[in-house]
Amino acid sequence: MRGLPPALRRKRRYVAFEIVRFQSDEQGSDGVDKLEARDFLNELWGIVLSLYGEWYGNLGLKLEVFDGKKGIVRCSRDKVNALVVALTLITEIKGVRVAVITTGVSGTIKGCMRFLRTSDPKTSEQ
Amino acid sequence: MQVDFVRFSIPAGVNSRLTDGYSLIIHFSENNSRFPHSPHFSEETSENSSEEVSENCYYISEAGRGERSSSRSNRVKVYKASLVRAEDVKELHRKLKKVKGFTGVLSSDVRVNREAIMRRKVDVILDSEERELDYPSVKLAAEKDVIIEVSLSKFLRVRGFKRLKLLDETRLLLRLLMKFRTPFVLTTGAEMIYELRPAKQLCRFFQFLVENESENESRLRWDKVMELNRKTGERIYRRLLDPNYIMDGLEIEDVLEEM
Repeated sequence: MRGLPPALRRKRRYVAFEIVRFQSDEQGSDGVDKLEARDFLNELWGIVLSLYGEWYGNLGLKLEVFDGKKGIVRCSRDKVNALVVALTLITEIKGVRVAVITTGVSGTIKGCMRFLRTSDPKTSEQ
Repeated sequence: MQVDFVRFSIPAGVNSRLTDGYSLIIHFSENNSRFPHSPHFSEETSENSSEEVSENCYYISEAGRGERSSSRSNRVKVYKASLVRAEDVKELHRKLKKVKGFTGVLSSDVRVNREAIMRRKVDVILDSEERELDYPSVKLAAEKDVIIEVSLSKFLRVRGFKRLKLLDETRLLLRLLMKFRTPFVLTTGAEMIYELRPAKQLCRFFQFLVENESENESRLRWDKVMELNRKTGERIYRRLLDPNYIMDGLEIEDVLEEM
């Protein structure tokens, strides 16, 4: 079966983010050094469902890339701000105090990768 | 790690890192102290700093971020300001006599906030989960040119129904602020490092709040909100850090040397 024409395809956006922990707090209360993708997603879904509910919470979320500190989340094009709000409200993951900062938004994963690679804030979309 | 101060920053820069986006952190403290010692920030001494630092303003740099901690873009300008916490009007009057400089009032009582707006010494009404402002207070703040702070950190400290209530109250407050053209600033209102967010992320948060109103006819326009926010931010920045600024519309252009 042929794929849908471009006009009928779901428009997506990719949001790059960074989880900030500081050296003194690098090891969480449970001694965990790196955050797991599953824990991050659980926390994100918890916030999304509590904020928007089951019906409006359909942001088309998918975690595309995650290395324990940085990652890319996919969402629908018209729900980017809703996703950024949910990411902003994350304060801890599995008992570890964190701040999630969004570093850029792009229409493709390839475009979004540069926000993960670069450490120069001036080049990011933000 | 909870520390006894309120910081807020003017979203002026456009950067992505946690503190880089902030051109200024205003550090409110009750005893006019310097930035508290923290493992996350290190204060720059005048030998390290090449730029001139005024009495109330100094630089800190973000520590613990490895290679970036010493870079110039990692520096944050901190301005010392006075914080007045008051639970009744008498306490407010008593404490206001002692303060000087840029002053912010933090109170949960609506009467105290209204009284604070009428005081000449007060520059900003700080935000918290318990803060209450009513219709006359917002109108009065516009007349008296007192800044109302609208912060993000209160949403991070509560969950569930309380957060829902706060979101609704903030939306209503923004409508009132826009109606009377009351000066306001969108800030992080952070009391600890984990409550800081980049300026653009902060803007997206409040944009979502503004643009998702149910009443279509009277919907707020985000660009108008940002315009007023930016104007207030610039005014604060110039007032605190520009030596040529005297008041709105009055500034020193050039000083001619005597022949």
